[in-house]
Amino acid sequence: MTTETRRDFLKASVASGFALAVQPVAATTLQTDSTGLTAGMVQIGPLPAYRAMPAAATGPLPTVLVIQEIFGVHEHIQDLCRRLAKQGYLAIAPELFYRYGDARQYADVDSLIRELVSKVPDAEVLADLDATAAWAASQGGDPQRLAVTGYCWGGRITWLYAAHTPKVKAGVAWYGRLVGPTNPNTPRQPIDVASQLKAPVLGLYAGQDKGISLESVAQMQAALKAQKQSFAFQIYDTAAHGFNADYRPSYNAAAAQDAWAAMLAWFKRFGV
Amino acid sequence: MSAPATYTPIACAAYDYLEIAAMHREPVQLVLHDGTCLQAVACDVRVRAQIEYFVVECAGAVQEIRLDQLVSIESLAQPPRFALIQIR
Repeated sequence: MTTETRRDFLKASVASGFALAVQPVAATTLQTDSTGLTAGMVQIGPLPAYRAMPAAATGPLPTVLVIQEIFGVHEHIQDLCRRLAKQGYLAIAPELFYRYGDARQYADVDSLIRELVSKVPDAEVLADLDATAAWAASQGGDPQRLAVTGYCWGGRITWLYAAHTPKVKAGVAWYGRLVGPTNPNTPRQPIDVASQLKAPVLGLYAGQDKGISLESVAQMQAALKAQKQSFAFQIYDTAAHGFNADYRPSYNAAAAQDAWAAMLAWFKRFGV
Repeated sequence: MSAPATYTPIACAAYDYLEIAAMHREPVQLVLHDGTCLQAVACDVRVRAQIEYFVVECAGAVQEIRLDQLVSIESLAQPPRFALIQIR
């Protein structure tokens, strides 16, 4: 007789939609159903995206662009879209690596970064986000209430996108890199565009992040303050990088829940 | 980012600057106790249920900020009508 624990069951039931590099997924993985939602993959020209929105929407919906981690638009990012849709948003996560490969098929992070992520130019990503926002506006989204949020790799892009377009009304960056070297594909880091932000951005960062130092957060805060920008940071002292990633050991439920509420409040504060 | 339940009025001297800012729709930089920095346009100072609020327009959205949440206000006008004012 096979003894199946709840943990085994959960792992088996949700693992298929996650990137290979993050399996096995943790038992803390949250699953949001699509009851009452229109949810699934859509095509924006050649660009695939996952879209979730209330099925019974009667008017233009506030829209959130959800920017993936390095693992692509896998189950976790799709779940975040459904969580936002349950809050009344049209949430859409474009597959921003689609020209170069499928992040979900990489079994290890080093190869994923070297062979895929590093090849993706920021300029292409920002243009794809523009296309996604335009598509959302044509499919029930309210272009006057557009927000952006992103996780890890997408957290960095969130800062860049808030500097890229005045169409965004609010941004929330989750543990995205702020400073660092540049190259032709990534010519500017968030701190380099601190003077150009066109939307208020909330940064949600971890006190125990091994890759994104609190010094770099302080540098960013100082740059934004000097440039008279609208911003806020919340630092979760005991949390590690990826504290919202409920499918990984880095998940910190208390920090994730507080940060999620802070994100929604930030969107509301700026009319999204 | 929530404010305490009990409201503590700010000093009259600081309040005057908020009135001046609102009267002229001054562009200002606000720093709040939770660390939030806002670049905004001052619109009004109003009282509701015995709590005073600074009404500003920020990123296209109108916001009411409790006065006891303000750390400082700085005019961003050119020339500025006042310098950096520490409120609390």
